[in-house]
Amino acid sequence: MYPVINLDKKNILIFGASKGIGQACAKVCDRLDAQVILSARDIRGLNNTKSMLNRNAHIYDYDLTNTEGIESLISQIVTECGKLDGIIYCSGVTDNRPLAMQKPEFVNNLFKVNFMSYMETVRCFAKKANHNECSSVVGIASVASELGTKAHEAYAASKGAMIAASKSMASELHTKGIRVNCVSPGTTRTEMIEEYLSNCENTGSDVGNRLLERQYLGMIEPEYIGYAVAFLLSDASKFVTGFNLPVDGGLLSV
Amino acid sequence: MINLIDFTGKNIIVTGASSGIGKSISVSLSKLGANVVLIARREEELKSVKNLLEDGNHMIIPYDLKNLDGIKDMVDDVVSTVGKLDGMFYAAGIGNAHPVKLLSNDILKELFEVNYYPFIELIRCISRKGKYNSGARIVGVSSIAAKCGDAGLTGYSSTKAAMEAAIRSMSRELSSKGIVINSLAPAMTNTIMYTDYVERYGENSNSEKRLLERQYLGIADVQDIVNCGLFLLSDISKYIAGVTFYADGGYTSVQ
Repeated sequence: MYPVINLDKKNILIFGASKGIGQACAKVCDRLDAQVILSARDIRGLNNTKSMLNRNAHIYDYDLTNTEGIESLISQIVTECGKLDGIIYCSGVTDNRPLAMQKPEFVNNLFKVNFMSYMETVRCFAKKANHNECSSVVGIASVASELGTKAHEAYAASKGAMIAASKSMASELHTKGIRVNCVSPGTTRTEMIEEYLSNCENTGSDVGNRLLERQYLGMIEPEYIGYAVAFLLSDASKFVTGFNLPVDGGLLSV
Repeated sequence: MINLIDFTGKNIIVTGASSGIGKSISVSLSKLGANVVLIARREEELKSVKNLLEDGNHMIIPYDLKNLDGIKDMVDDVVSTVGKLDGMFYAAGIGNAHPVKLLSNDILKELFEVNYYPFIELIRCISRKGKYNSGARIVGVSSIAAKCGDAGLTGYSSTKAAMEAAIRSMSRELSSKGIVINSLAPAMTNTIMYTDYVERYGENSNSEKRLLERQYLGIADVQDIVNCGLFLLSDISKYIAGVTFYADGGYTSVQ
């Protein structure tokens, strides 16, 4: 049982691995001796992440706006890398704009990456040929699902959808030995957030500052999201499923 | 491989250390390098738990936590013996079920006297200057009962809900000192509480069948809960604060 968190010999597929939280997750899993498989749109970013790892990682550039192609992507990955033990779904679009500008096409595009491709990924992962017994899925959601923030309608809803679907998938997939959980990060030091905060500043919005006020432990370092994800991927958390773990510096509790 | 969860040289109090989750986490903490301060009422049981620990600067304190007035001196004594504290795991608790018509004020009081008041008093005493190290992490063992109502659990669930509410406020307040607090909420776990439950309802009872429909991963092994406790006590959960961590085999997600 020691070390408590052990990912040795586990095949972990990470979406959104080219930067930010996905990259941090890849580094943590690699340090825990997992065999990581990296996917994202940006091949240069993927190679960059790959260069930070100790082990040789497989990389697959893929655009998750193409939900229909995920089934053959997963099949290809399993053929080339072996059955999977875990998925980390970090891909996500944050595009916040006034409700007046959130037309159906915009909402649809955002939901494709943040939600539909997540569900499709888990659906394909759950096929018998694609996963090992005792496997685990972690969706990176967001505290946004619990916060009524203006201009966040589509984003917050997509994360709420991810959490809700994860609970249902957890109860359905446990018979296959698959656990499904989410991690909801608060404001985490990534390019995406730096951009968002500077946008807030430029537009005179105080949303970013207000979030950090409630997040009383301050800006989260991405590796700590990786640690929580690694715990949920490991067998040490084998009794945890259908759970959404806030790693939010206290934000949602106050 | 790196060892992400490591307590080398950390001083950690465990209450309810003579049995169940408290006993098992004490053993695990010692294997991961901690000096464990074991608190429970029964001295003989504490001694035998201490024998199970890996070597370290451990300490046993036979103490009835209902005695609130003595907690401050006890904490002072602990700190002067093992040094400043890095954490506490509060597993002391009684889980007796009482239908509402039998829930006298005395029974209600007793539940709070074990499950709630000493938890607050311990944190009050530990968070005094000179008694803790910055980065100290505290975990209170709550229960799914704090969220999900059930017949007979009026008193018990109230104590756990009170604990969780207090944790959110205390964690916010004490964060300025570098102390962070979370709740760990297990579902039915294979401890004396489960034995009592089986005794009450019989084996394979309808009650248990209903329970397992929701707690679909089965009855928890103690170690499964302990692992979540170790995670929450460790530095890698540094940004997790005021959270209720459900280790419940799916229970709270299917309601």
